[in-house]
Amino acid sequence: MKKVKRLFSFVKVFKWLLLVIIVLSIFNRFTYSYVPLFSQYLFAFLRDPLRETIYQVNFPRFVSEFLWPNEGITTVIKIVMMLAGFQTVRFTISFFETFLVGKLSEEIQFNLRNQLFNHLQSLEYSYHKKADIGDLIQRVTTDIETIGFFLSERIGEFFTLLATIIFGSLQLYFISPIMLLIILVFLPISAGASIVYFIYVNKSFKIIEENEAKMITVIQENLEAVKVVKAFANEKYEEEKLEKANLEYVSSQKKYNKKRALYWGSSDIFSMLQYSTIIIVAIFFVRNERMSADGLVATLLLIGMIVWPIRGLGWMIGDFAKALVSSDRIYEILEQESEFLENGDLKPPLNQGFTFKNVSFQFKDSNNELLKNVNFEINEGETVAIIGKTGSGKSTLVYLLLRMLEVSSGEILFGEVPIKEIEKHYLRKNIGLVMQEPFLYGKSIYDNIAITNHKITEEKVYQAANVANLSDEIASFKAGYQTMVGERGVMLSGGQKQRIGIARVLIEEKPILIFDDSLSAVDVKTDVEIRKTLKKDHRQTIIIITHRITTAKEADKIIVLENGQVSAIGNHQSLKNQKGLYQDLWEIQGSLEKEFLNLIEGYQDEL
Amino acid sequence: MNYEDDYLKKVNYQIWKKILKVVFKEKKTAILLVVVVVFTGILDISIPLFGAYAIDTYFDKKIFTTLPLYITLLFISAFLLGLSVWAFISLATKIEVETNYQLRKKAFENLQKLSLDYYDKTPQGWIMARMTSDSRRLAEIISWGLVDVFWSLALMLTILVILFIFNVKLALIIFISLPLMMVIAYFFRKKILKYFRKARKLNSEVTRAFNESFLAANTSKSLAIETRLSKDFGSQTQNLKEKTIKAVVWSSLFTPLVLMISYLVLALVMYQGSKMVLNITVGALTIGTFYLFVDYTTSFFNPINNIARILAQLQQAQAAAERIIELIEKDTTVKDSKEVILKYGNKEQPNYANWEPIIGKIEFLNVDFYYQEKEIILKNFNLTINPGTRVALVGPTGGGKTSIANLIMRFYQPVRGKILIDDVDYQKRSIHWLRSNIGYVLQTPYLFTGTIFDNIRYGNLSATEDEVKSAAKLVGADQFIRNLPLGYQSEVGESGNKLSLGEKQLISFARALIVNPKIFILDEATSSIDSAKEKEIIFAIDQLLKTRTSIIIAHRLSTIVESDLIIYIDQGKIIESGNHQTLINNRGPYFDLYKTQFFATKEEQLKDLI
Repeated sequence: MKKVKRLFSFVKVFKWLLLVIIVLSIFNRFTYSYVPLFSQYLFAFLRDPLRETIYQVNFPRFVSEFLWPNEGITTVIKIVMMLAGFQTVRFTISFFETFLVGKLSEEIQFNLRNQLFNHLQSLEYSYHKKADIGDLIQRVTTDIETIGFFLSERIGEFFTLLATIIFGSLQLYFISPIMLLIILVFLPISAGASIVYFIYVNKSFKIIEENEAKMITVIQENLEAVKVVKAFANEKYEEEKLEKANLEYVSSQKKYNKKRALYWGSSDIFSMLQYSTIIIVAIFFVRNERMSADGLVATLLLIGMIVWPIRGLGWMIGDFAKALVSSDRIYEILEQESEFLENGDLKPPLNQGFTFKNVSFQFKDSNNELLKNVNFEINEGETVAIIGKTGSGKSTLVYLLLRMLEVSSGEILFGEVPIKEIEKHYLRKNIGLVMQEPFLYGKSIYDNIAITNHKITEEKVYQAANVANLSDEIASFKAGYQTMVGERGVMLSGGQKQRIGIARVLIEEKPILIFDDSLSAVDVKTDVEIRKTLKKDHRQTIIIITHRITTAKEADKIIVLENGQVSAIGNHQSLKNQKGLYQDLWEIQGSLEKEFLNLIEGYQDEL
Repeated sequence: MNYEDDYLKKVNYQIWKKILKVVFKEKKTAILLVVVVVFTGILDISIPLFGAYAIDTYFDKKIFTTLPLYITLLFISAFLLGLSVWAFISLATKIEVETNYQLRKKAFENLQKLSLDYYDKTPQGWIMARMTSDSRRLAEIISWGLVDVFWSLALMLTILVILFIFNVKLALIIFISLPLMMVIAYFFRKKILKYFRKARKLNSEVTRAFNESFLAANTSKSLAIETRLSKDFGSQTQNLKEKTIKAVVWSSLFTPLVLMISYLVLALVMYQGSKMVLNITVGALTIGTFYLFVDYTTSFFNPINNIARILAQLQQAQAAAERIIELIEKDTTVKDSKEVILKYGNKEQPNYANWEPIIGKIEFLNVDFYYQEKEIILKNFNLTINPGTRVALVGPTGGGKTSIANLIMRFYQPVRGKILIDDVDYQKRSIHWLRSNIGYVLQTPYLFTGTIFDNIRYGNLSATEDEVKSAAKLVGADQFIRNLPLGYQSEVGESGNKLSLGEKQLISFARALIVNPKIFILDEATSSIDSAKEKEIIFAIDQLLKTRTSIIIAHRLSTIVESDLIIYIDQGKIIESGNHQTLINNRGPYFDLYKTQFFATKEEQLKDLI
């Protein structure tokens, strides 16, 4: 029940719109049940000169009075005009009904899309790290559509069906209660069959989908590995492989189609049986003078109204079940807590250095401590290198500093202010982070550089690109700065992406800059150049995370991380004379150079 | 490709003829379907006749002699209707399924013939769309379109015939309104289609935006630009909403409008009919016939909706048809000449008796080559590789190394000049002959869904179990395979994703080795594999290259250094060649390359060390 409530909560904002739709669809069916009466009246009028049967027509009183006195062609004109007028009003309303249903569906989807987009963006770092993107896409597309469709169209149709049966039965009751009884005997059978059929169909669809997926895999792998196929001259084998998958897919479809033909064929016979029964009963009635021809006319028209739509009941129930599943999947996302529920409100200047005090970190669902009791202090304007091997906790440190992860114990202070009291957006805006693999948005190069501030002057953008050593390459593109990147744009190399990532944080001056292994794909020359340019501004604090000893060497302060712990702090001079990882690395580097020289020398000697 | 304009296309009969040719292997089914559908339409129409007869005979005249026959007929027609519905669904779905099957099969078979230049130019997603949604849509419209069109035509024609028989004047009223209805219906359908296409396009933009936001989530967070992205997204969804609602307006107008007109016609019919019944106008009309007219007027216009829909969809489907036909008929650029096929046979029936044994000498003679005329890759390129030598191709990316491998494999052919294998122009021998004699290992090891056993045997489909295992042993893959719970029968997953990169590589080596080729082409992986596997792979490569002519696009120092001949290629030209020692002493580009490579390799190793 809670689940049903949750599903309907999506339509809460639009409850008035939904109400209007329900009222309109009921009204539509209510008025529709009167349409056959016009024919009934006309036939009664034409057939019966004594006008007795006319009183059997279940028109409201004012209509009967309006049509009276019944004199020749004027009455016919009255009836016909009334019918045309009546239908005009009905169709106008029915236009609004359909339109509003479409609008409601769209409004629900619009709201859900925006709500989910914003909510997903506010979910914490760890959520996105683990997220299955294919599954998320499914949720924000198909599931949203399913919900939108159900809450508008299906709900409307449900009330239409309900109203059709109720009002149709009512009219039928006035014509002949026994006829109604006959219909009511048949009705549950049709409804039941429809539901059973739906359950079956649903199962078949799953099998068909699975087989289709298998077939698509064959094609996809063939396209991907086209060179392999050709190199081994296995084209024929591939054709056989597809043939097999193709046939399997075909056979599962055929199996379903057999049942499909059987259901619709037999349900047609069944509906026709109802129709025939009504006619035959009517004929026997007319022998006993219990029913008139015009009554039969109206009955036949009314039966058509009731008999056919009931067959769709199974689909409705099926869609209801589907919508419930979809709403569950959407709620799974919405129930995740936004990271901004826990936020500070201070905006202190961030150019006073920062301190890690006894900081430890581990993910909530793991026992593995990624950082253990980390202590260090970084002063304003320092260039700091953090060196350590993959998995030593370097990146974790960065995400803690941006508060994309929360410390498990200990604290981080900016000046005197604990990080927990600082507003998150403010913090991140003031720390420029260049990731190892920066994401480029599906926009132009220009927009990607200016992504944090699209009102910035062009000059600043060009300047940043210049510092990041991008200008020449951008100039070599046909569209220059307007070249599109990302999914639908040009393919950029890892180094180019990194440098756009660098330019991106350089357009505005930030008190703290962090390069998270982001100079790795940039060649040494560029690396040096970029750092030289940055050095000019002495007020910026620069953190460089690296495994390149040549990069670390230049820093004012070097922090060595091993297994989540700080094993040494110092500068190149002090560390290279101190036993430990840094010294080892430095010596290996030195010996390498020697080894190389020896290697070439060796060859020369051999000559 | 502008899909937006699909709906504007003129009808192209040529294309439809071709599609029908592909489809109607089952002419009988199609003809039977049309017959059944027409029969169903006529049956549908005859139902009201029962009502009309009952009214006239039993209610008005009160003659009941025909009653038993009447009841029997009623039940028979009920049964027949059910039967015919069953029949046309069976037949239509058969055609639908078979068409879909045939189109996919034909397209796939042609895809196997196409050479690589086609794949270079055509995105995989584009081909996939032709093979799935396009073929499905075509199959649907051909089968159900047939049903709808013939059912509608049968229904409308029968109604008209019956009405004209019973009363010409009333029938004329209905008949005259027909063209008006058609025009309106068609106009609306087109509009609706157009707006929904627009909306669909915006919809996929929104999906793309979602996808991007997921990929970018943490970057966006670190840049603190969520608000701006939300605003952009909001305007996209707003736009989607507005366009969809616009489409909804048109589609909601449509049905009421058609119904409105049909009721106006009905009102006219009622008026005229009443006059006849009342004998005000000339022409007698029984009440039964009048009922018939009332009933038929409303059902007469229902099919118009169908026909308009089919017409609109046909235009849309035509674009799909054109694309599929293009895929089926596309001619390949690399193929054997008639004489070659005569001598060596084709892929289906190779004439092994005429296949010469291969020695393994490769020669490029004044070869010019490019993928696009503007970007020349090789210019007057000459190279001789003697049997049994190991040649390493090195140099910057885009310099032409891969193109040389592609040319040897005859994935492409020289634009000018010749390539000789054992001193004979390789275009004088069959592609199948050539490729059966060359083992090729790609940089990325593509595997296929299936077992490890199947994947190794892919290199030689007639290999025995023992041969598969010994190939695996030879490249050192046997160990890890046997450690898997199902051993050689373990599933590798889609594209081999259940295995690690190193494992996939080993299997791709075994797959190439089982061919037992005389020439080996190896495009070495650039990214280093887990270092535990590194040694195994170097060992495997050595096994592969033993006693064979081999061409390696080399990245690993060890492979390069140990080659008999190193060729440094840049911008399609051989800059330097010789063995390692000579080139090091030259202090040319190879020396620089070696130096960078040396430190890069060591740095990588260092990363694991600390």
